Amino acid sequence: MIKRSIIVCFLALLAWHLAFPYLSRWYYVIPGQQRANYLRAQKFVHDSPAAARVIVGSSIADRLPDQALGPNHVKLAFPGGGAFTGLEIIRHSGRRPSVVWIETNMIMRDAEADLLENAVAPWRVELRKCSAIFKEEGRPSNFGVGIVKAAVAKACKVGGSLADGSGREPEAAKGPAPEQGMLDDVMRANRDHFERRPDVADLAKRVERLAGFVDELTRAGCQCVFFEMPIAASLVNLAEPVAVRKAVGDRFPRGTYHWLEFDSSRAYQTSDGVHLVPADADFVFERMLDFEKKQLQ
Amino acid sequence: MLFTSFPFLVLVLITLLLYYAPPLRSWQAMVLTAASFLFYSWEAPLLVILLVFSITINVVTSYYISRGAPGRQKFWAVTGVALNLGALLFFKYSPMFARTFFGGDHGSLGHFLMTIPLPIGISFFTFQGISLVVEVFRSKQPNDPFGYPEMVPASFKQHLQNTMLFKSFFPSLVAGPIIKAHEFYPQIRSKFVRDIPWQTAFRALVTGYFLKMVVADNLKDSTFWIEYPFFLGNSSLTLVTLLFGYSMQIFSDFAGYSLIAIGLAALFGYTLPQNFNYPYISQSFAEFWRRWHISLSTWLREYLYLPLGGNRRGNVRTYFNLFIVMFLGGLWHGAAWSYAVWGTFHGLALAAERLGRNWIRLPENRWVSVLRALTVFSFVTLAWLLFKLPKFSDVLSYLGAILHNRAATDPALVGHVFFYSLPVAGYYAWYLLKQRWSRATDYEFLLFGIMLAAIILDSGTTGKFIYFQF
Repeated sequence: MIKRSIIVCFLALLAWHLAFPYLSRWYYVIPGQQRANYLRAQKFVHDSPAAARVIVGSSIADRLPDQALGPNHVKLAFPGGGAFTGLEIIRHSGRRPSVVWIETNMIMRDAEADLLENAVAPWRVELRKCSAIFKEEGRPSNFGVGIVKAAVAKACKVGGSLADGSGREPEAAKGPAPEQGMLDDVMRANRDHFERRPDVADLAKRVERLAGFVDELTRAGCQCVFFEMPIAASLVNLAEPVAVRKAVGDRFPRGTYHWLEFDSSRAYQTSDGVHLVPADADFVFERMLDFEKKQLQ
Repeated sequence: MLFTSFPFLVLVLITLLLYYAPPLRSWQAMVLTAASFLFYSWEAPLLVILLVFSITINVVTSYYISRGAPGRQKFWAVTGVALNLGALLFFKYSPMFARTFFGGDHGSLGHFLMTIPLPIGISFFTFQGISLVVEVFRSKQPNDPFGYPEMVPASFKQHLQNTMLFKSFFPSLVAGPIIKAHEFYPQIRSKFVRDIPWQTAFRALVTGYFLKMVVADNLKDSTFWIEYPFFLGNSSLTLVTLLFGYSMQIFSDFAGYSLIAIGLAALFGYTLPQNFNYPYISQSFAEFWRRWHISLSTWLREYLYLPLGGNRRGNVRTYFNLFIVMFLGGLWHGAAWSYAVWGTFHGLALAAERLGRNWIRLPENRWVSVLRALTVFSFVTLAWLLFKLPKFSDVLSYLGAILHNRAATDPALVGHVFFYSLPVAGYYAWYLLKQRWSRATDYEFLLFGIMLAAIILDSGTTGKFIYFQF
């Protein structure tokens, strides 16, 4: 029984390896935020261009528009994480981007160990080189969930067709946008978070850690640019953002390091206090492109 | 150390090699104990101090109950149980009492109590310790109705060695199944490779890892939307689906863990008790508790419900006993009042069911059975909300959101939950099919092969076992 089970397993893997490249992506979805993060990290490790321009950060920078990024920009901004996750992935992947944009908003968050292990553990990288079925995009459930999602969408008469068949990268399931009336609690939770003053020693340690990454990247010929993503005016001057802004600003002074500044008089629109609405995210990204053109070599 | 981690795989392989190496045969128990201590101390080495303390309590008290002066048996038994419970109360419930009765100001007693860390697995190994003390005490009573075997050898050193293994046995150390002393001690002897029940181990390990890594770990990525404040933006249908998804997740997580523990123990020649017996097809709450976390419910029955009088002292006392056992059983799960409410909910359901049995007679047919199973499953699922949302106000908000939210349903979220719940439905369906079609087992190799492939291709992101927190 054990031997026969192992043979069936091997045959199933082989069949999937052979069939996967030919399967239509019509019913296909990357289910869940976490797995979308894994997919993005794996794409950077395996498929990113040699001198990519990488944006590292949290869900706040994740709002920058995917469609506008183009082939040379890669977003290692992970919901639930912060800049350290992206920086660790760059360090361990062996890839050397030409530019690294560092979002400073969420440096109080550690690198996400599981994501890092999944993206850059040597045995996983080698396995994924052997067959695409070991990549996030090769999971059988991407098709299964896609089919069920289409059926649910049809039954509920929402969202139209699941996949548009355009061949675009499938969008991750990020959950619904909350209704305006329900956002008070979310705003309150964000306010509670930002009102906490970070531990001074901990913050200093993180800033030094950031400096270690910046030195390493600079030595490798990469240009680092710091930026703080705009958030709601009611949150921007609370204890944590102020402390982080000062600590990072003191360690990486404006004259010595590249900084992209945003117009603080502009009223940025957010969906929940911290995440920009698409129009403002587009505006921010245009500023970044402009900065690259004018300030970077 | 997680069962699903790479270091754990290395630990098991090395331990197996040493354990069955002929020159080390007389050291088997020590090899397994050393591996268990390494397993337990992997992330927090200081925790070993508590484990050693707990072992010491139980070795000394059980030894003196068995080998000490006959007149002092009760003293040692009471001391053993009190010290076990004292350690559990101190480490597990201090923060809860501090939150309830004291403030959390810096420098205050409340703040000190709130900062006491919860040692992983304390609820499990403490209950095992109590079972040792109680069973040794019972076995020394004249006319022992339980017929427990002799568990304490004359040599203190030997008893120490056996008890170290019993208390620290790594497959069941941090999340059960809770092994009773009489189930484990008779199994302590030399083991040989030829005696390994390979099929049992293979079936348990593949099913366990599949339930944990493919089902529970994938469902986890959706059910996190149940947490506050994320649930606020979801539609009623999505919220109900998420709740049922969490029900599937908690089953897969805990039943998966138990199966992995059973499979691992089998590799080392030990038999652990079955912990789950398809609980979601139960047609009553009483049946549910005979099928869910069986090692805990039998523990509570043997060491709490029966000593309280069980159902032998009249109806009122029986209802009270059920209520108190489930209330404490709820609190055992977690140091928060929501767990007590969860236990009370089940206690009341058991009492109401017992009461209703005398008044209502339902016809016996398939449809009524299905209806009863669906009703029990739905109530059980509703009660899991108290597990996921320990703040009672969040539970009420969630229920309110189910009733009032008018947001559009998210097909991706619903589809995800539904898809990863299907294997659990299949797991139950296969069990029911096997009961009707005996040849089904001839084709099980196909299922195990596919489950293996799914573990390789479709495991979710790593997640801690839900029951670790208890």
